[in-house]
Amino acid sequence: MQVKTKLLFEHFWSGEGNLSYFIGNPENREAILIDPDLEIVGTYLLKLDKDNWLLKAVIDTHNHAEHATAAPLLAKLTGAGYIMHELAPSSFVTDRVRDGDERTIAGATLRFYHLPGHTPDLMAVGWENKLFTGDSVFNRSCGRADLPGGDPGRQFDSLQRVKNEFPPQTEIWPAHDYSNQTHTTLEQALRENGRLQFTDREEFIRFMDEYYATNEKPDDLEYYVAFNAR
Amino acid sequence: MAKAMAPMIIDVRSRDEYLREHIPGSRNIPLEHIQESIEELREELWQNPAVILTCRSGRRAREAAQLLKAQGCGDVVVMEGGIMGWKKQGGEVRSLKTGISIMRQVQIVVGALILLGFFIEPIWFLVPVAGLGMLVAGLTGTCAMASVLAKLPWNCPGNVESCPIE
Repeated sequence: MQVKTKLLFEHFWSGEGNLSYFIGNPENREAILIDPDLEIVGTYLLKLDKDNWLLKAVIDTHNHAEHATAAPLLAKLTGAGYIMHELAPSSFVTDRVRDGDERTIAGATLRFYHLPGHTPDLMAVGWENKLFTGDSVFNRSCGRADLPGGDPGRQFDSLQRVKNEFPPQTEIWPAHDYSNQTHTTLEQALRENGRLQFTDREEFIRFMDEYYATNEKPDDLEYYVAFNAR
Repeated sequence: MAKAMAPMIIDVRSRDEYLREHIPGSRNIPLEHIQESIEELREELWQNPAVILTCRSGRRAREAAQLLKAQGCGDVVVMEGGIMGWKKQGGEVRSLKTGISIMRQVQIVVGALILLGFFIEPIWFLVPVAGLGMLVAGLTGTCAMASVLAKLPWNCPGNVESCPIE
């Protein structure tokens, strides 16, 4: 029986609580990056170069509104594919995926789940027992739904889907955390994440509308939405 | 899998510094000329995500990146450590000009003018003239003496015309 290669996994912090992820196959040196941030593009490039990784795919979980994505640059420099949901606006995407699609890259089988709400194109990426949730479910909260393309009702539906569709041991690895926590388990989030406690859609929409009515919008919001969508 | 592509490297040092040593294939747009090329750069940067700015140490490139971002050209990546860092990492450079750099020639001439004015009484005015020249150069970012020196024969090698500038 063939022994399965143990893949390497790493996370990166950047900006104000942005998280990005690396998956690497030590056997064939192939690698994947999820939600890379342009601010630390040098960190990714040094890592790829130093340890001789061959970047096969860069994935953005959605069109980011708070920071510039490094994915198009990394894809051009390395020849990697750029994967996003089919609704993503960026013209640099080379592989547009839909809900339920699977890709095996660098020995990792990734499955994509369309979870709109924060943006129309948001998708989570499932790998082994990990779910890279982007700005759908956070460790102790969820992505806001008041930015361009956001929809609190759809965000509610997406949260319900995560609650119902994944086993409790699933690890949630979000695109942001503002308290230095990288991940949580769904089991823990079901108990501790206030946003997952809502059972009424209208109540959730009211809560989100009120909560974010006084919440400051990210700096340079329109600029990043347009820049990442170019 | 798509083909890997070399980035477009924009070197924001002066033309003289660029001619003396630069990364092969890089394009020279001196920091003080960025503003003039802004329209063209905006279009280029919006379409090409693989653009990297460089200079000697990275300081001027960061300044250029801030200027470009403020003018709506997008986020542009800066080569940390500039050409010095590039060479330290074993990166290849090309040279189209040798000898003492224009800025060092300026330093030599200004130093000589001050010493002459100080020791030779009838030409004392060379001291304030040199001081004024440096003050204006510092405040405006354009050095008249550097422009004059650049036109001297030893600073104009024959092959400069064929050099791929801008």
